[in-house]
Amino acid sequence: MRSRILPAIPAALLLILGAAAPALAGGGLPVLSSMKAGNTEVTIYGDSMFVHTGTNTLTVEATGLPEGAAIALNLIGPDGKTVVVPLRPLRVVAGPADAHGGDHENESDGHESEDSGHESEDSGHESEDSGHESEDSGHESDGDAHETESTQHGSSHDAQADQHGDEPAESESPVWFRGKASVPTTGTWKAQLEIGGAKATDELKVVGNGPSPLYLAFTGVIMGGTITYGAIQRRRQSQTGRA
Amino acid sequence: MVAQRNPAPVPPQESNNLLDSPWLKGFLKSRWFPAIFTYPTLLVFGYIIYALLWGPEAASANLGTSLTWVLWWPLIPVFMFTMGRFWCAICPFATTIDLLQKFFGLGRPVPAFLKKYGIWIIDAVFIIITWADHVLGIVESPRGSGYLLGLMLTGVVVTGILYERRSWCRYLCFLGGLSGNYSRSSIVELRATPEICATCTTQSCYKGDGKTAGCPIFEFPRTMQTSANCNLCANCIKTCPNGSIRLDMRPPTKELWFIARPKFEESFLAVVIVGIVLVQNITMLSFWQPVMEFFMSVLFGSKTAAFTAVFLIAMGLPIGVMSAASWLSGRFTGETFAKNFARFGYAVIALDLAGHIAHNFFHLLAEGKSIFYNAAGLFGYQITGSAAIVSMQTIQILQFATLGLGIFGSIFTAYKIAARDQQAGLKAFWPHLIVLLIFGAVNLWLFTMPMEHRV
Repeated sequence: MRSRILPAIPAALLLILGAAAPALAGGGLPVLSSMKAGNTEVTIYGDSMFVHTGTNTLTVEATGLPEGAAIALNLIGPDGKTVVVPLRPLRVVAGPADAHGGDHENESDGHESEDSGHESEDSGHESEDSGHESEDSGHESDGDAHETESTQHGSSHDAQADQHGDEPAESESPVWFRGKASVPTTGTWKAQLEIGGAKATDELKVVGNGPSPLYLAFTGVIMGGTITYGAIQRRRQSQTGRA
Repeated sequence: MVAQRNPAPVPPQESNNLLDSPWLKGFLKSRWFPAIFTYPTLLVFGYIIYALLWGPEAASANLGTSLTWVLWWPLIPVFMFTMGRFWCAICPFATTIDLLQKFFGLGRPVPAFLKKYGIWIIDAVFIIITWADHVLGIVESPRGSGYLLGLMLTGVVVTGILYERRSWCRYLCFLGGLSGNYSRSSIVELRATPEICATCTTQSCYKGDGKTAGCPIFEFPRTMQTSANCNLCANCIKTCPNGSIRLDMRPPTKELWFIARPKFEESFLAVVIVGIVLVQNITMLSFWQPVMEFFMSVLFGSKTAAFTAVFLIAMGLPIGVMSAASWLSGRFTGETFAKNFARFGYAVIALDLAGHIAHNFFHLLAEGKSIFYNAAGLFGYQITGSAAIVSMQTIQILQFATLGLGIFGSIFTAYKIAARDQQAGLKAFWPHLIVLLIFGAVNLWLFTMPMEHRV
């Protein structure tokens, strides 16, 4: 009897301890801008602290977006150059999402260590699934084929092509879009957002990309110098050997 | 005195040679091994460096960060347990050394101070990097991670060109030091057959045979008694003309039971890792902020000073507790504190490894899908979702099971170490048992706390 009970003790302990401890969220995506176009509140998230030269992935969270309304985002440079950000609906493939892949499924209330930007994201996460559903429901009138394409190919349709329905109803759940923008120069740019005719703009700081030039110079000189030294010494050795 | 006691003889090895499989032996002897792994790894590493230094600054959006800290770092201790230091054989740094040495290497002998103090340098670098990770931000910052890898690459290039073989891997790489320690408890070991080696005149396992280089990290399989410095590159399997090399399966931690010449610095590293795991866990827990706030309030509001204080306490506690146990245990055996510490410090390795794996189960299994989302983004597929692969409950069961095995492994190892000393008997064991139970309990408690994501 005792020999049967003993092996069960570790398993029982595991089950007791297995009452899952909650996970805290990670850093998330930094907020670049928050603005309001018409009745739609929009937050733009970047993949870095600031928009930088080169390719940026911008994520747009739109709350109160009229159903079927087109959403367009342009970046306008200090010299007037316009970069169109081709936004596409962000596809949620598994479980509750936060647009940056963080898992909030088991999140506790302990957000003390998070920045305020992330907390504002969280309010949207809880209802994200429903937001996605409402997005899909907008496609129903297009028939199953369109919906299937959207689901299987990462929403290959353009966000601007989604205008259908005469009486747009606003969705309180946030809807997510994502697009890549290649920004050529640093300086103060403008983010211009257009939702169903309503426009909003906000300033964006664009900084240079990449590591510190000092760091690159330091490591480059040491590595390059050592390789050159090695090459010279090897050459000398081989010349001495031949002589 | 210690020298007068008679340690129990090491039991004869049972043969469980994986090289009895002609398929495996053929693969390890072929020129494709380990090249089939090294060059793809080097390519991925090149991309990771690029992504970390020039890619998105947000960790959650950077594929380099996901690949490094969500995939590679959690898998590394699992590899070490199952395949010893095999990672070191395919490590991009090692491949870089090999490539550079072909064209620019000067092949100078390793300086004596590196041979003598290499492990201490590894200890110090490990502590500094852990400290810097929290003060300067390495893991959560792609640029920070990139800077660290770039600095290591600089060290690799310099030592690779100046000195012979893989001096960096053997004497300076902190990951090599960690791998060396963990590999002692792995389930495979590469060894030579002494009876065959006794008749050998070529020693090509160390020197190379003209076609294949000798051991890249200065091991002589004939006398090798530890897996700490064997990276399973299979050079010795290729070069040995007598078929002396064996690749045996063994019970986990077995090597730790019979260490012939324990070294204080190696044991010290094992105990340092307890502190590092402690720091890594504590800083990801929900009570970390209040602790930091308290220390900041008494340390003039400086975050760096507050973290440094907590860091020193967390690193010093395991060393202090272990030192006390060694002093007490040494009173039963007649050993000095240092000798006892050196002998029993190895027992902690199993718990280190288990704690490392258990901690990273969280990152791998709760954040694993971020790799997929970020990789999909590279190809224009904008998708997102929960990053969790399994539920938090499943992760915790795995964590506690792993920790349980680690605690058992450490206690059993300490018992076996104590049992070798027939004169002192098990009296020397009890202080270390208490310490291991404390370490185990602290780890178990830490894993019940909420944890923060890396990405």
